[in-house]
Amino acid sequence: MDMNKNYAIGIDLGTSTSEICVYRNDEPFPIGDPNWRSPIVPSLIAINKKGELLIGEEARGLVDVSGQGIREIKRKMGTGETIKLLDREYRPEEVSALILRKLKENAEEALGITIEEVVLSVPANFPDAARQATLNAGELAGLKIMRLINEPTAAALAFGIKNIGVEEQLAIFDFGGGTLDITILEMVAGVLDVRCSFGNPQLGGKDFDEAMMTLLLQKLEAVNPGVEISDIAYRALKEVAEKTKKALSTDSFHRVRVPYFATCNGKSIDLDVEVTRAEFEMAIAPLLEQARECIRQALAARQLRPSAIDRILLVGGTTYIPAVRELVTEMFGKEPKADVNPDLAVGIGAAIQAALAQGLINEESGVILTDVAPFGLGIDIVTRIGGQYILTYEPLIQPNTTIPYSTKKTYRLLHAEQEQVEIRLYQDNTGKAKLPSETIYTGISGEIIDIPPAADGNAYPIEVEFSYDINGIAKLKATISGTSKSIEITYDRSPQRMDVQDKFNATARIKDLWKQNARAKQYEAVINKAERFLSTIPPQEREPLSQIAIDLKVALATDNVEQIEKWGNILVDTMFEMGL
Amino acid sequence: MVYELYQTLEVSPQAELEEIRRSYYRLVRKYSPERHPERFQVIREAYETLSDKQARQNYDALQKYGDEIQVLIEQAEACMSEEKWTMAIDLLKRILTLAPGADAARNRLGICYIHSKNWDFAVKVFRALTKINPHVPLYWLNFGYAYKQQADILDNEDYRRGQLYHQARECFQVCTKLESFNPEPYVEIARTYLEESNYAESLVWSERAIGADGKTDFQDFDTLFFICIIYWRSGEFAHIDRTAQRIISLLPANDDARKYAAARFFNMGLDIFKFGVKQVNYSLFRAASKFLKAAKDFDPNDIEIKDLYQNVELMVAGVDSLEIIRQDSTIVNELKSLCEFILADRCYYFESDEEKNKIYDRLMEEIFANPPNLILDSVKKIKYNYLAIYQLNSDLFGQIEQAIYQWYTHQSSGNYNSFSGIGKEIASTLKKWLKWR
Repeated sequence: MDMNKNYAIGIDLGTSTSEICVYRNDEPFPIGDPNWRSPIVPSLIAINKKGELLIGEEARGLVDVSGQGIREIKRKMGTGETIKLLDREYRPEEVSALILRKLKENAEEALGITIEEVVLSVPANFPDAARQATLNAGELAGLKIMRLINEPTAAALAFGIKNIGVEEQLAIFDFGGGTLDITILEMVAGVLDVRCSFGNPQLGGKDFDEAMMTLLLQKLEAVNPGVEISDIAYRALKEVAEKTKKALSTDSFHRVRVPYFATCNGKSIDLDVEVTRAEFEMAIAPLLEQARECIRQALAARQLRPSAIDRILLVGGTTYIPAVRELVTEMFGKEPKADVNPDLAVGIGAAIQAALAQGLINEESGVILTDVAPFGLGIDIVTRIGGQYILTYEPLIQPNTTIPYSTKKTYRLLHAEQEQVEIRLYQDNTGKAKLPSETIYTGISGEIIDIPPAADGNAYPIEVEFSYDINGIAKLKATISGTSKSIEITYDRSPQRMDVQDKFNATARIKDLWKQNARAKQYEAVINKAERFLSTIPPQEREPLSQIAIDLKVALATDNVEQIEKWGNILVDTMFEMGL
Repeated sequence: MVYELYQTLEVSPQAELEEIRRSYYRLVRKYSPERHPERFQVIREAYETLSDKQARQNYDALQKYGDEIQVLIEQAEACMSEEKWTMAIDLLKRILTLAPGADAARNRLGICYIHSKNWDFAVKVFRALTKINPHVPLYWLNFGYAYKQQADILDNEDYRRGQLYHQARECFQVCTKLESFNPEPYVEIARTYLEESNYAESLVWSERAIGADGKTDFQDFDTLFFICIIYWRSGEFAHIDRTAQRIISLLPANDDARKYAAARFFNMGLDIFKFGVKQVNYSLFRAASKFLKAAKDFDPNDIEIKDLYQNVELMVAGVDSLEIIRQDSTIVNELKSLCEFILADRCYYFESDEEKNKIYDRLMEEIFANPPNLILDSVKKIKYNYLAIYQLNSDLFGQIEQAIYQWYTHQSSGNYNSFSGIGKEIASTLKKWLKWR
């Protein structure tokens, strides 16, 4: 870690929007997109007909065209699903890597530095596979991920750093584009102690958009029975629904107009309907009920009364919906205040976490953060229950346990002649699993073989030492007591778990795509021009232009922003001076 | 080392919760998880215990009376293994006075109350345990036992019985929800239904027990055997056979397992047989025969099983024949009574030899009051048409036949004796063919 750096970077890679933030000169701030000014970059990717890669706001026009764009890629992270763009299939981490790379580039351009180390945020209830995919995405984007931070925790940090003297029970209501997280923290003496985190990883703004789409279509069909909607129109509706949803956050009604939207009885008709906030609220009532259930769970987990919560922080775009705010007010019995920016708090918090990790914030003003394990881990053991032998799940760490954490447990082999034993690691997202079938197998296992027969005829005890560190790396050591036999397995979040060949292919794929990025292309033309010119002159006259072109190409290949900018400028200046 | 957790958090054992909380946060600031992960863990562990009222109480009790409690636990366990329930109860109560949060001891106390039939206390203990620990299946299971065992010893007519079984089932059902893969609570529910003669429900819950762990295997033997008992009680004897076949298909290919299964079925068959004899309920012989047949299938080479099976089969056939013979007008009624007598004799029915003797003498007298040709005809008919009965005591029937032939011979040679006179004679000589104590 470069301790001399005077800045720290945090990234919020969101379902609908993403942000990159920097902590510098004792202040965190978001970095805007150079073209669009806003620091809130839509998480959209598209490829135009010319094969050019479009990221963020510029992708909006094409993102819903089938096979040319993708939105909400975060919801697919950690799944085996691939995305087809033009004629190639991409993994979700590759698409995410492109967004990360765009953010990286924005920051590099704004700050004039090369960014390597960052803190990335993930939903508190992100399963391990999705976290793993996020780390892979970071690596593919040329980033070193210092730490993954849970989004609500990051938001709490953004609040805590400015309110170090506050002593409160905080509830973070983080309702983003794809997920809902409710995290309860206690802040005392500048320590943010995460007490528990609960969420619904499948509930987000996207579902509200879909409810709006259904509502708009119902209205259209009511006026035009038998209306036919093409796939293209249907996809375009997504954008319209999102806009309508946003409009209804401030207005009590909104008129939607899309000319030539559909056909009815062979005639082209417009989508021209009016939606009131009350109608929308009716449509989203089931979604609100799910959110309510999450709050109940979070409070019940720590046996908290709503009145025990002193402050509620709203995070995520979905919290702009008035009905959502009302729900929060009603459930907690107090109104949430605008303590943090719902769009930026997570990114800001990630940057603060990076600054804390890099030692940029002095001890007195620094917030200390404790965090919890997002999921449980355990092994399977044979248990005698109700007169039968059954393979059961044995938790070693429960979800919401404060980390770092370690434990030691002793079991016994089944019989004195047992020659081998296998230890398998399972992941439990609920904290309620009792059978391996109720968990997810991590694919990580270890085996102790050639165990000598027990001399006294009693099966050996087997000691299991388990530890879970602050970076989410779990280690398990199993030892057969009284013998030299033992095994150590590591549950490591490092990206090594992505297959080497997979990674190689992924890198090649997104490199191809990235080259189609407008900015990379900007120098391509200059280099081409320089090289064409160089081929027309004798070798001895080629210096220094040829060396400058090589340096720029190296800078582009290694993706070193400072160098690209430096050699790019030199090349352009040199060619300008040469009258080219 | 005592009160170590308090030392870790730098507070006194008398500290209020708020003081503990403040100290924890002060220490986390000093030893953050980032910079001092090991130290932080120790602090956190101490805080988890001392900030939880119940956990702190237990910890305090252990610090104060740890050694004493240990001795008491050992003594209580010893008493329990010797079934000295009252003594165990006293010891466990002493533990709980010192450490009111010792749930394991409280659970044992409840078990002791069940064994000593202190039902009200047992229910009280488990109600408290399940209230504090609603997620521990064991406490719910024992709660169910507290109700069930109380009901088990009540008369069938007792109005409390149904209510108690209902309460037992509610507890067992909570247990099945918490630990769906544990067959025990399902079986217990099945048992309560069996006690209430609700065979259909009993079967349903037995099958749930078998499927609890997701597979049917030899470990489900006891439950399948229990199903056989349900069929015995419900009178659907044919299903016993079928269920035994189901067990056979699950048995591992080893002799010990088959012998074990055979022994279980043999003992059950024997019990049912004895029960049938006691109740003079001949239909139970059929149930017994099904169990014994299963035992024979499991272990075809066991002589004891084979003998009893053949014997019982013989009786079953006899019972069947007896039903038909009763309708047969060509056989003299007194001989029909003899058939019943013989069957009863095979079943060790008679209370005493005197009783049997009396009945036998009277029966013979009545038989020989009939003309000899009628008796002979009836015996022959029994021999040819009702072999199953004839076989039950072929010697006796044979001797009657012989005696009548002899009488004819005597008569034709001029030694004229009255026929009814020989009745007594024959009766006394034939007594040796009966079973006497």
